[in-house]
Amino acid sequence: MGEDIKIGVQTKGLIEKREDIAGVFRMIRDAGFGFVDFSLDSYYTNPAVSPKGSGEFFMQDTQELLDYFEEHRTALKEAGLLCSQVHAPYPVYVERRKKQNDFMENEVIPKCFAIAESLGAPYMVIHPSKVRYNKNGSIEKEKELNLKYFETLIPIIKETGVKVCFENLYETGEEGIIEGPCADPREALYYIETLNERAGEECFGFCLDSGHLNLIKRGFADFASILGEHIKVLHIHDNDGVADNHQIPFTFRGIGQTGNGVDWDNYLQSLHAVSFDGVYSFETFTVLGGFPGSLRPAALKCIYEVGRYFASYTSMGTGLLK
Amino acid sequence: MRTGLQYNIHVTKNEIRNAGIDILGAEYEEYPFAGSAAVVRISHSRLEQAVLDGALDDLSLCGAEVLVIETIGLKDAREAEDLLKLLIRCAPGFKDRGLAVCIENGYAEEAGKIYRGALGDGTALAAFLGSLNEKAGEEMFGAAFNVGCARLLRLQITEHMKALGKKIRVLYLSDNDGRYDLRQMPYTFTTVHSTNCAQWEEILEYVSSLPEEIFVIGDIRGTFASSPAELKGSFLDLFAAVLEEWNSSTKDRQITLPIEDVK
Repeated sequence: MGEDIKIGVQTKGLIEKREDIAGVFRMIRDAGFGFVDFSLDSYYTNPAVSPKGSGEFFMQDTQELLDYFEEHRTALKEAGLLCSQVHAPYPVYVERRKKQNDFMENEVIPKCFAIAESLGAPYMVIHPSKVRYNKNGSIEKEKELNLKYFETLIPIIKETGVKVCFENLYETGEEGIIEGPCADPREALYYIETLNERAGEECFGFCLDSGHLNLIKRGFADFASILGEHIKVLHIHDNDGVADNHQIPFTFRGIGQTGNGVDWDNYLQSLHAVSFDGVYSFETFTVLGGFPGSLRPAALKCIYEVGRYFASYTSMGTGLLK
Repeated sequence: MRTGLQYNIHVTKNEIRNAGIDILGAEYEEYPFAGSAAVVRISHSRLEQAVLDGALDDLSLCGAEVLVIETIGLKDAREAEDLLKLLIRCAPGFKDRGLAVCIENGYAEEAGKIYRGALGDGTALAAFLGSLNEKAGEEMFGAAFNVGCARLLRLQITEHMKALGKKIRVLYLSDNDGRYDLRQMPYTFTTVHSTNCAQWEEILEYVSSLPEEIFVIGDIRGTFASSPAELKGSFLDLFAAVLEEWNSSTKDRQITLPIEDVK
């Protein structure tokens, strides 16, 4: 363990109100983090998933948006933080919502690339679209739609240097949680290899979401062995195996490992097996809403220490902190 | 309000103290390892044998102030009646040794299904305490309220606390997912805008209206049982911050809240 450990946390829930941005980034820095996952998805809650959704923010032109985030960029720099990844708004495509889909494809996502580039982010997570459960939908139709769309992003990826990562997703069905796009590592590999081949270079990678994987009851070992070095980005968080709680690791099991929390040993062994050397990035925004505001620094510090443990484990194969 | 942690064998005393946390509670079985703790908890099923073994003398010699009777597994009225008779028999011994005795809300389980059992809700526990104190001839039995047990039963927690009111002398802070008795850290199951979790803000507000002498004890052994050794200090630090928040917040509220008519 040395100075090279890379630990990050998402900005969701911390910066949207635009109050004391510099103070927020200092708080993240003071907790120990060196990186942030910039949650652009917080700026556009899609009407498809939220009745309050509005795309108003992204109706500003690109320069206005870059001006808006200049304060964030400066604050990040002053705090000594780097932006390791950006999360784009989602979903990009919803059946029978052509106007909205056009807005997402032609306005929101291209503007996110510009913002990500200005923040210095090397990766942006974009959810692959869900079509398989639509009436007349299928996994094949979903693949066709996603490949067609993501191929259109190759020029902007090359232009901005911001690579796209697919994320393993779930869907809420009538009988509970079911698999969504990229929940099967072979499917994710198919997307990544096909698109990288079409791009002629590595433009696409994978974001491994620990909580989503726990919800669909798949193990990490398959993901690690099949996707290997394509795993570029992490979304680390825990849940009860039923809801997407986005909480601190180790808080969903009890005495004798009862409960349905993430199997963190399995997770860390899998990352160790592929020699993961990226940023240990926590997607734990719920923590910041769940704990009282005055406890945010303490909660962030605890999350950071979990990150140190994870980085230690995966680099050395043990959890011994030095 | 006196705040601290329930001792558990998954962390050392030094680790707990290094985090600035008092060891305020202990299980009867682990009490010798805790050194000393003001509040000692024993299962209802072990009480009789422990008393016969001289436990009351041991506890009072070690400085225990409160004995909590855990009622997990107490299934029905008949078992509650047996417990009541046992407690009345033991009452002189408790009194002689200056031990306050609190009965904890619990739950019962059969074939993997959790249910209220005899003393799972505040109203049932309040009635039990009423009978107990009446038979004892004085108000010598109080309540210990375990947030985690109430959460497991998916109760409206503060409503059940209000049913007990000032009888609550011990509050165990513990959280879970409503499915397993995980004994985890408060707030870690809290989801913004969801009522399907312990409403800690409401609990804290109600506690502020209770007498200052209340013991508030972190009953979070699950946190330490499920986390790696290297992280125990970090989770202790976070819990220390939670206790600090509760201490300062209740002081502020005690000043600003109107005086409530607590049962």
